Amino acid sequence: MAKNTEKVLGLIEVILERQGKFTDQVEIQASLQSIGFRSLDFSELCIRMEEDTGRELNFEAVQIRKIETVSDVCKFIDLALKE
Amino acid sequence: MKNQIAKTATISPQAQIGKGVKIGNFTIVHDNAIVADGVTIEDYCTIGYPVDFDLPNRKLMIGKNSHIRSHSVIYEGCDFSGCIQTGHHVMVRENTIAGRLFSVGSYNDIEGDCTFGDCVRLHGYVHVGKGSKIGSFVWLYSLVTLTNDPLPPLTLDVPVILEDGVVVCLGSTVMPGAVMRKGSYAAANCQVKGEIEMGAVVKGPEAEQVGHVSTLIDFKSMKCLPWMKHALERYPEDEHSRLLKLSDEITASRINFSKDKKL
Repeated sequence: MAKNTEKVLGLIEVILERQGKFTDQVEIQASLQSIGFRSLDFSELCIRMEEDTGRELNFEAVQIRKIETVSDVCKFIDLALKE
Repeated sequence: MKNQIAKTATISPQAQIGKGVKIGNFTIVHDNAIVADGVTIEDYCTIGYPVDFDLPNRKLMIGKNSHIRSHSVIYEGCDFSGCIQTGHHVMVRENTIAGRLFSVGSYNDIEGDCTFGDCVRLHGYVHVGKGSKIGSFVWLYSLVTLTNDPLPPLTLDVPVILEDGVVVCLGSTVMPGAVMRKGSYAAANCQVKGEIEMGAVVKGPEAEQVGHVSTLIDFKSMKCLPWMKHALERYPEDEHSRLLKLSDEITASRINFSKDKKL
């Protein structure tokens, strides 16, 4: 499991709940499409993660071909937070 | 280069027409129009439409190789000497000035006294309120409305300002007096109001500031904004360094955004 998974899952739930999209627990294997998590939500998640961790995400450090699932998001954030 | 003027077109003898100009059927070119070389004006257009009030300058400049598509009306007192391309049924009111390579989609309505920087692109059905000030490399998508009156019909004239590299997506409305700083991004159907900080992403009826453009990513292609670095081929080579500098400036603004902005 990625290092920041718990935090990321919590933030995804907060972001989606605020839009009235999702009230259950977010499953790690869920597809982003199925839970209605979009690029705009991802942008918000990144800024919240940066605020939480006090560190800037480095997008260029991430080598992932595409993001389809919640798990991919967690992996992305982990890689982007690596030194 | 020989001109091709349709027999049914009406060209004022005072209008200045360059070389290699094509003018379509039933188009009218009024006195103050200056049409440069290589311009195409399609059927049923009105170029240099006169107004009955004072203007700082009555000349209408249509720059080299511009293309005005059918049923478009451009008023006098406008300067498009840096080249304009329009779709069909475009209306541009007086005293509007644009930089180079101005692209205006079909059914646009640009009210008077507007200024546009270089390489601005408007998709179809955009309404630009009177006095709007728009920077360079701005994208306005279909059905975007830039307003200018906070309490109609009082005609209070509080136009909007959109700085360089701003993107306003489909169906959004920019409210009177709103200022969108460099590279800021309004998602579809947003109602933009107040001041939007550099690189901010806003959405919804309250223009909620949800993120920063440098964290906007397409999940399939993994392309990330700012958009400039992915779109260089769409712009002339001599604009590339300006675009990359703008992109860097917008990306750098994330540091302040992350630290200072409470979401």
